[in-house]
Amino acid sequence: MTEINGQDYNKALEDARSLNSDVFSLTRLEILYCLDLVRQDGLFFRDLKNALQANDGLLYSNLEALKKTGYIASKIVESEGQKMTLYNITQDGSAEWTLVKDFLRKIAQGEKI
Amino acid sequence: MTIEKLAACFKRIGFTPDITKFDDRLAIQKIAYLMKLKGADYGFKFGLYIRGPYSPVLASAVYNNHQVFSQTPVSLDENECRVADELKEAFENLDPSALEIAATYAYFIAQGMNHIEAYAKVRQMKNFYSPTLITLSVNRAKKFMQYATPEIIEKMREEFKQWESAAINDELN
Repeated sequence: MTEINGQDYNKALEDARSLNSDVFSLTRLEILYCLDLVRQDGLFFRDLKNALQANDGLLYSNLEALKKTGYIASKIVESEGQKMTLYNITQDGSAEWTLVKDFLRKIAQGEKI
Repeated sequence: MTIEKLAACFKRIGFTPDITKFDDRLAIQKIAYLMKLKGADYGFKFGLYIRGPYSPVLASAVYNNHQVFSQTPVSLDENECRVADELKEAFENLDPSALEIAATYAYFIAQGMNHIEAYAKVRQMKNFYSPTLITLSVNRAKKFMQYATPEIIEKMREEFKQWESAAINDELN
């Protein structure tokens, strides 16, 4: 099973907030985590903002940074009559997120990298 | 897992999904979850994701078998027809946001929360929707779920426990 149960996504994000985001970009990890959960279906800006409890500026700048790396992509879609920006993780992004998870798991388990 | 059965349910309620549309993909997930809660279970396991109950396996099945939605539907039994009709009656226009709110509320109820807890949790999770829309959608969920038997709810709780254990094991490994 590669997907974490959705029941735990709230807790995972809460736990992540106890980490020091000066050490690494917590927001970008959270974005990749959330987008990887839903893969091709994607999430709107407002969904990410609500899930991450981030302000518009912080979220937007991190989304743009991830877009530049090619790890996520965005497109304008219509939802219930409104034009909304939908974000998806790319194949490269998903592969990178797997590497990050493996790296963090090894650290947590005390293995040599 | 029978995506064909689910497609037949959609046909019965007048829903022809276009999987290139976000709203339709969202509605597929929420309708499938709500119908499962009422006993029309096609084997898709759901967890709580950012947009509410969601099954990655169903998402893949939809992408890989989208032609099924335009084919002649398979037949449904009496119970499946009844559940589909009740869903159509409760949600009329099948608005994606109403389905999302209702399915999320239903998920919390199935997890054992009481109405007040479930309603508060939905308000917290979906704070970009108006309180009016949330209240109306929760009322639709309550109307739809009024015939959900305790046996079905208990079965789903058991399923979620197994799902959670598997996720925890995965994280530990």
